[in-house]
Amino acid sequence: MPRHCFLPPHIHERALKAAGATTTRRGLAVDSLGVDHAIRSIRLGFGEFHRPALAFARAQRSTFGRAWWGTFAAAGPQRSIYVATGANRQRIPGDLARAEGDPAYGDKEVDEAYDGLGATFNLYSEVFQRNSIDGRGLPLVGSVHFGKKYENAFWDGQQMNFGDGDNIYNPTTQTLTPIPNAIFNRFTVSVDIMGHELTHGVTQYESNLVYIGQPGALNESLSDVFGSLVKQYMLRQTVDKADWLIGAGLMTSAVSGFPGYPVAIRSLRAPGKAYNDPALGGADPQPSKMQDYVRGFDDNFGVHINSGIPNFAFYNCAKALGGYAWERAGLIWYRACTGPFMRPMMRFQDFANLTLTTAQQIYGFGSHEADAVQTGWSAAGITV
Amino acid sequence: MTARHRHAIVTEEALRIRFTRHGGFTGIPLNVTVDTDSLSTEQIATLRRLLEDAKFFELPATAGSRGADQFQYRIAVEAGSRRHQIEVGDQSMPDSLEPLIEFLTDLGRPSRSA
Repeated sequence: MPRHCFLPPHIHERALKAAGATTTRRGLAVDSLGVDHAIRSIRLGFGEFHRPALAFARAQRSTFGRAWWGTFAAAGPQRSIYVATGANRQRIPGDLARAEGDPAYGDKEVDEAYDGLGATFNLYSEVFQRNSIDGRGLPLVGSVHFGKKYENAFWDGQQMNFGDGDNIYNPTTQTLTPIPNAIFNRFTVSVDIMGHELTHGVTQYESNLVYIGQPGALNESLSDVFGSLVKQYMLRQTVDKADWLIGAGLMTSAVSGFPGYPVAIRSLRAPGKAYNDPALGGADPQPSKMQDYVRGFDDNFGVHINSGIPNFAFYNCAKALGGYAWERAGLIWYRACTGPFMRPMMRFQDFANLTLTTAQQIYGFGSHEADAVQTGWSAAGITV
Repeated sequence: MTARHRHAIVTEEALRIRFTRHGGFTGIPLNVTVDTDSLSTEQIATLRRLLEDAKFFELPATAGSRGADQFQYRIAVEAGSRRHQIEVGDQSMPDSLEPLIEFLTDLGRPSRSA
């Protein structure tokens, strides 16, 4: 094992500070922190024993070794939640606030992120028998209080980052103060946000769907689908009882929606009806049908807009099947997007075809489930 | 012409900035257009200082990001005869640009409350 893996984190911190001038070096330092963190978490999991850490490192060198390790490292999530540091609060991971097994930290965002990552791990582990993001027990890292008044949460290729929304974070008192006319609450407020971000990690390790145009919107849709399933599974809600919303509670009560529709960022049941407010530039722009596909340059050619189409297909498939959405519709989608026929440049039609063959494979030709997949895509204007 | 006099001419040149924040988990864009006429002298002075601190006119036009749901920022500046446009992501922006982006984002906030 190369010794540099065990450099104390403050050395990396120093490298980060020194690297202020160039983005590349900063990126490298962040990369090595991620790797180092992975090894450290394994060590934490086994107390002070160093031999398992060595075994882990050796096991990671071969495919067989990784599979072997995965079989008994499946015990539970390895979470660690950090608080971002630095003048702009963009130094990540930052200061460790809560590691796996620690009691509640007392900071709402830290504890919500910890619970949300746990709920997401549970869905993947208990329903789909998947051990963490990479299927091999990868430790889950999240940083909260990222940026200043940062109205976003994102997956950076290594870890999750959550902003405070329209709140000013005071590191001394560990409290949030809303700014006047606040629109966004903290980005840990809804468990489906954690599910959404973590699923970006799953997609990265599986199909690596290109983050642009249709494959990008499909990537976004998978994050919304499994993000919503995390919430549904946690609350044990059936298709009819679930809200099918992404980011419910993320917007303050000042934001208005459509009469009869709850306010959120996106709705899988009713794409285009999640909000309607001049402060957000008008109505939710999501289409629900292929013929309304929105062409535009920004947002990587509309990845957060056109995801409404495959989202609506999934909702309708789940609705046709009834019961718990994760049991059959969720399983079909999961098997399709993690199976050997998934490709990085897939378009909606390609994925629709794949979900049908997957349903036929699991449940048989002409099965009720295969019909439901066709019904779902048909509602979204795609024929399979 | 003294150095101080020359500086005065440069800081009085017309300034126009178009700022767009797009992408992100919510996908909701933020657009801000400001110029010398629409802002106070104080705000314009701050913008000029932030542009200078960021060495804006020397920044590369694009810098890509990895991962998903990151904000993308497009900043187009016209200052007198100089024009420059850049596009950066949350993780690909230089530290020196962050204060400028924070300032422009704040300018975009009050208009939402109307």
